[in-house]
Amino acid sequence: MAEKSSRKNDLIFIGVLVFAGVVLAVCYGLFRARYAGQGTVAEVRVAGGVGQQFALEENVDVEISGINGGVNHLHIENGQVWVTEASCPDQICVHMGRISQPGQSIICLPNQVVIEILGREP
Amino acid sequence: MQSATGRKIAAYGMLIALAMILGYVESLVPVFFTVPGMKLGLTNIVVLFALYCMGNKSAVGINVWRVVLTAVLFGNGVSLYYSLAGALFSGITMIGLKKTGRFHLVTVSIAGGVAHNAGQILVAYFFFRTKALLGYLVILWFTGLAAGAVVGMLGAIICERLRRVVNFET
Repeated sequence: MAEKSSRKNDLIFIGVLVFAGVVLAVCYGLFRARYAGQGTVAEVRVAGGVGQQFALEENVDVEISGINGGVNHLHIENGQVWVTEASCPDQICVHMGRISQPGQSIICLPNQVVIEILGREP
Repeated sequence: MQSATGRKIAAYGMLIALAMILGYVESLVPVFFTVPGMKLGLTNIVVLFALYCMGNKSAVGINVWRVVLTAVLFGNGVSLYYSLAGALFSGITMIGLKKTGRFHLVTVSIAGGVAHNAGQILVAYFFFRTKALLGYLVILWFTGLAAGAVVGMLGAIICERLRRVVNFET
């Protein structure tokens, strides 16, 4: 089993993994930078379908119907977006808290709902 | 050899049950909910044990059965895809790395943790088709590294100790 292994191989491999993670982080940073500026719109999509958009300047309270009859309650206030209630058992989308920056998102896996903040087009 | 078969079935049953319990215990610790999808992956201790003390086939078998049974008993439909993807990605990665014979158990576990999370993000991308998932991949990449390291160290200790007491080779 593991006894044969040398420590050097392990360190190199873990180093490569960490480096790959940093590369991913940089990619994500560049992706976020494309949305520089204030977020203006929250886009809601169900199961990858056509997006429904809500302006962040307005206060919104709306029920989003996910797949399989699931429901997420979307709330927008003072430019912040969050999910107040969800029909799913894990409530991860509720725990995701508030988002306001372009590129940020709230995702509900069971209902396949994505709420994403989009920046203003240049 | 009937007794060998019996022993094997008993070992499988016990380890699958243990893996399921560990998954449940883990779900009770709220600290792991701070980042959605973040898990310590205690069940992987069982998989690592099976991988190193019983063989590749047993590890895959135990993990897949654990995933299927958990999904049937407690799952909500979609969760099965994520769990299966995580199990398959980490399983293939860990077996592949172990086969090279060049890496320590902890390294194998770390790679498995990262592969597990990457596999789940891939499934999420299949469902959602949004690049916003890249942010989660970054976070889960590093939490997978850290969790894999912790689980790997625990697994190494447990493997070492148990192998002195019982022989699970089948």
